[in-house]
Order: sequence, then C-alpha cells, then structure tokens
Amino acid sequence: MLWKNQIRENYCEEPQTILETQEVLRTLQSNKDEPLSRSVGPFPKTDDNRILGEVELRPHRNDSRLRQSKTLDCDPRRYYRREDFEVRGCIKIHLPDKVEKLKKNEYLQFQSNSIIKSDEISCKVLKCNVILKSARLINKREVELKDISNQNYLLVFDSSKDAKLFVESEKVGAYQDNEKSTITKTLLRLLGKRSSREVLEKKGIYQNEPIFGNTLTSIYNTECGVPKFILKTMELIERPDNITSLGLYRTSGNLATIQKIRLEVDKGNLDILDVYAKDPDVLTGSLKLFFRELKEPLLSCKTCDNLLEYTKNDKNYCKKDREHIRTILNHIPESNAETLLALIRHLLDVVKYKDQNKMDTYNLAVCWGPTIIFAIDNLSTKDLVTQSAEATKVFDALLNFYINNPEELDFRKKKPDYFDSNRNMIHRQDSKDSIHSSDSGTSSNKNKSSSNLSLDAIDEVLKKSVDLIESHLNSEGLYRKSGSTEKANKILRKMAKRKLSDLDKYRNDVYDLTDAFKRYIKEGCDSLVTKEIVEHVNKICGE
Amino acid sequence: MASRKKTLLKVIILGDSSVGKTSLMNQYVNRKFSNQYKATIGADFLTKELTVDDRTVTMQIWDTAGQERFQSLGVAFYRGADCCVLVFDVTAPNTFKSLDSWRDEFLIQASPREPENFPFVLLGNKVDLEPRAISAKRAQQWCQSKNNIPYFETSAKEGLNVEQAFLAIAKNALAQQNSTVDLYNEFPDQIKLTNTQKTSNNGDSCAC
Repeated sequence: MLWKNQIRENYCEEPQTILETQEVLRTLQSNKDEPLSRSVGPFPKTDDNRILGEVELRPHRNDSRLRQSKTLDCDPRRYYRREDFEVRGCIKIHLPDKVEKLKKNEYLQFQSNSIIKSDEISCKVLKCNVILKSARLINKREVELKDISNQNYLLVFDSSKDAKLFVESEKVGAYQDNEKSTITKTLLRLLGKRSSREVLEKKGIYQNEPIFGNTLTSIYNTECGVPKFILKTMELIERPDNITSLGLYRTSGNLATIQKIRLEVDKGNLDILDVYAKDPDVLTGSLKLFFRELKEPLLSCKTCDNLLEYTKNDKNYCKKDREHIRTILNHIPESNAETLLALIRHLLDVVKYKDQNKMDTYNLAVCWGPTIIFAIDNLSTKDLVTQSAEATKVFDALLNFYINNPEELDFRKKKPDYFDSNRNMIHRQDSKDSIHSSDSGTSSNKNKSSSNLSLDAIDEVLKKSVDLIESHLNSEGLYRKSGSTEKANKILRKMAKRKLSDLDKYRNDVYDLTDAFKRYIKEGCDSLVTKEIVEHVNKICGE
Repeated sequence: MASRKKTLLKVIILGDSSVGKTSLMNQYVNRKFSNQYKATIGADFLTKELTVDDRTVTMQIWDTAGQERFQSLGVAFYRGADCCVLVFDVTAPNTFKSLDSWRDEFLIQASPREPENFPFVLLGNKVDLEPRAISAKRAQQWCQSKNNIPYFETSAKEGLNVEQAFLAIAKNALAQQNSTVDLYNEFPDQIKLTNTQKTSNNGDSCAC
C-alpha cells in the first residue's frame, strides 16, 4: 500500500492523474504472467480484505469526470464507459474466492466497478475493483462474467428466463463482444465497398492463378504440353517409397501444407515439391487439388455420359467399343486428352503396387473420378451423389480398359498408324463412291489440274476431315445423305487451300462435310485409286 | 408412455479418409469387420434400434466419404442431425489435426440452433495399431477445449469400446432432441399464405 500513499502524496492535487496511473497498472495486471505487474499491482490478491476496507473509505469518483483520450486507439479506461446494472432473479454468485448465496428479496448490483449484494434496506460489497469485460450465457441458468484480469464470476439464476433476460438487457449488452462487433461492422463496410469479382475480372485486376484454378488449355498452351507441375508431382509420387505407401491418393495430407504448395507453385516455384518428396499424402493432395480447382473439369459431364454407354461391361471390349472410346477421347481438347493419358499411365503404375498400397482401380476411381469429372455450372440435373457415383464408375472402367488394352494408351502418339487405319476404313466405306466417281471423274479431273494432289499433300486435310466426320459416326445415312451444295463448296475451298483451322467451324454440319470430303477425294482420286486398280476391280466384278 | 413412442436419431460420422468411419459403423450395426480396403462414395446410412433409458430409439447412422471432393455434399446430409461423431486415427497425426476443420465445417453447414451446445462425440479409432501418434491425453485436452466433448478410444477391428461409444452417442443425441423439440413446434404458425397472396394481388393492380 506504500506506493499508493506515495502517489497520493505526490499528486494529491491531481486525483485524475492518480486514477490514470491506477488504470495503467490495472491493465498491466491483466497480463498475469508478467512478474513486474504482480509485484507492483495495486491490489494483490492476498490483501483482499484490506483493499475492501480502503476502497470503502475512498470517495466515489464520477466516471464522467474522466478525461477521454481522443487520439489513443487503445484507451485503458474504455471499460469505465460501460454502464452499471442490477441483477434480479439470481440465487447464487461464484466469486473467485467464495460463493455467495442470495435470499429472495436480495439482488446483485454492479456499480462503480463493485459487485454489491443488496436488499431494499442495506447493501454489502462482495468484491470491488472489478472491471468487467464480457458477459456470456454458458448454459440455460448460468451466466459467466469475466473481468480484465480473466477472473470469472458465475451467476446462477433461479430460472432460465431470468438468465436470458439478464444477458439480453441493454446494459449488459455493452459487455458483449463490443470490440468484435465494431470490427465486424468495419469489415462489412469495407467489403461492401469492394467491387464484385465479375467487375474485377472484366477490368483485368482479378486474374486466374497461373497454375491452380486456371484452365488446363491455357496452362497447356503456355507450357507446350502437359503441365510441368503434374509431371513433377507424379514423378515424385512414383518414387519407390511413395508409390507403396498405404492408401495413396486416399489418405489426406496436411491441408495447410497443401495450400502452401499451391501458393508456391503459383509463384512458379516447383522446387517446393522436392521439400515434401517424402510426404506422399501432401503430394497426392496437391495433385488432386489441382484437378479439383480447374475452371473446367478434365472430363466434362457430357464426355462422362458418352463414355458411360460404352463402359458397361468392364472386361471384354470388342473392337467397336474400343473404337468408340477412342473416338470419344479423341474429341476432347488436346490438352485434356494428353493430360488424361498421362494421368492414367501414372495411375496404372500405382495399381501395379496394389498389394502394398491397397489402391486398386476401384479405390483410385473413388478418389479420382469425382475429382476429374464434375459439373461446372449448377444446371446439371443430376445430384452430386449420382454424378460422383457415375464418375467413379466411368473412371474405374477406364482404368480397367487401359489395363486390359495397354496399346490404346498410345493411340495419340502413333498418329501415322492411326491415320493409316482410318484411311483404310475410308477406302472401304467410300470404295463404291470412289470407283464410280473415278469412272466418271477421270475426265473432269483433267480440267482441274490445280487440285492435282499427291497423297503426301492431302494427308493433313484428310485426317482433319476424318476427325470431324468421326464425331458424328452415329448420324443417319452418313455419306449417303447430302447437305447443302453451297456449304459443301465453301468447305471444299477451305480443304483445297488447306486451311485446317477453318474446318472446325463446320464440325456440326456433318452432311456438308461428307459431301465436300467425297468431292475432295474425287479430285485427288488418281493418287488414291489408280485407273489400273479400277480396271482390275471391274474385271473381278465382271467375272 | 415415453417408451412406446419411437424416436429417430440422426447421427453423422465425420473424419478424414481411411480413419475407419465405415468400419466403425459396420462393427456397431453388423458386428462385422472386413479387412477389405475400400473407399466410400458419397454417403451411406444404416439404422439400428437400441434402448436408451427404457426408450426404444432408432439410430440412423450416416457414414460419409472422407474424400475432399465430397465435402461439398455437406448441407444435404448434415441438416437435421442430432449428434455428430468425429473420428480420427490415433496412428495418423494429420487426421487429428483436421478435426477442427471438420467440426467447423459441420457447424457451418448444418447450422444447428445452438452451435456451442450441439453434441459432438470424439472417437480415436485404431487403438489396436502401433505406433500411436496421438495420446489419449492430447485428445482429451482437445475435447475439453471444445466444451467437454465425450471422448472414446475405439478399435473397429476388435470391436473395442464401439458399443459404449455409440450408446453415449445415442444418449447425447437424445438429449439434444429433447431440448429442441419445443422449438420446432413454433414454426407452422408462421407461414401465412393468404396474406402474401393478397399483397401480391394488390401489387398487380397497382402496376396496372
């Protein structure tokens, strides 16, 4: 108590200064762990009784007299501004050092930072110098008050109604997360002022992340191939220690680490992956996150539906089914197809170790199917469960398909072979046409010497046309029905000029395409089917 | 009287993948454990009847998929839950670390009336396995910090503690249901179709 008397002597003319000093010390005391504040703290806990005596002697100071700091953000006296209140319906109060029961006609008062028990006639101070900072309902009949030195005061009420009333009363409301609510208000105001994401996207301020949350096509185009992030992650996962780890791709890694990798990878720092080379779960988690975050799924729902038709029997694929699957996958964007094949090659490696990692095609499909096949808009009629189940089924079948037909994995690589096989097919389909046209066409061919094309030259055009037409294999009367001559002429002109990219415009006009294609072949027929062959065939037919 | 009334309790099992959610449910409902390693798609539920304090209750146990992709399913499954069971694998520290996010996710998606009092139960599964990464003490500390969630150490493989854990789950769910029953009764009064129709008619005529 000595120090206090000293202060009082020194500053007796300035009671406010004393009060301020006390306040600063009190806030210091709220940090209990500081030994300094404990030794100089104004009210050591052991001296409870003496404080009580002294405070009663001290005259009440009117709170309003306090100078309020306008410049200080953190005003230690802010607790003074809060209001005093009365507590009715309370039957018991737990103070830090004792429990006080209240009779029916008694009630509690919080006044000038003291907790007072009073009835209509007399009052008794239970605890003084309590600077409350919060009040909260902890269960139906109990309210917990907290002061700035984190001491708890538990008020037990007779009925839950009283407790509720008390907590909801305006005066106590001042103690309820006041700071929090102002922060919330400020934040809401700030967020309200911000432009919407769409506006930012338009202005070009908001851009896609370079890797995560971008479109596969754009990464593919900038990196000229399957994204390096994917390849590198796969390579690390394929290390002997990682690929045998139990539940690879199923068990989840530390999400915080995965997000860290995401940020680093977006910055272009792929080396971060090496740091986690020994944590397969984090690596698999990042890879899965990459595919989940893509703007467009690796396989669209439509592709999934198409595949679902041909993947019903999971082992015995006839040649036709194989061709169907090939065609379907051939018509997804190149970036997606290449990435898909890279992923499947990698997963087939994982399956090889299924005795150790327990990840068979089904388990991998559960983890991967919904990750690479999802609806981008909410317009999908299917619910997420059905969709996920289908995605799983398709991906499981797809993995099995490639296990049983590993040669299919290379169908994109061996383009010449693919072209050859298709050329044979065309030849077969068109043989009649070709023969007839070559019969009558030999004469007309000569006046169009400009389109005298060698086989090598028509390669690209032929391939492109076949690609486009093959996406409509199930069209009725393909190669028989004719389209509009005008369009066919246009297409033919593009073909002759070898403008491959322009052909894409007509990808849906299959009958026009077939017409143009037939005429294209007709013009170049002397290199495809020679006169000698025709004569030969005619001979055979005649016999 | 109370025992005659049938009660349906909806219980949701949450946790990272491969902590043993499906195994726990199967062990409790069918008393079977399968060594098969199989991931769950979407969600699945089983029901079991049991007696709690002389009351017959039907417990509907929802087993969810732990895969990250399925987390967005949340709202559809969590709503109306009476108790949420959080599961982690005592041999995998990551699954313990994710508990906070699972709990928060549940509270946000299911939006129960009193989030701080909503009953959770924590199960530390696979105690039959070695080496242990999360001690019982650490798990209990976490439980204490979350308003004293009951904690059980279980082994779905050996059926250890599974019965007791689910009994506690049922009791907690029942307590939750009893306390919220009154609140639900208040709702029907608040839908007044006639009033809205009137106002919309007025609005139409005004526009003309």
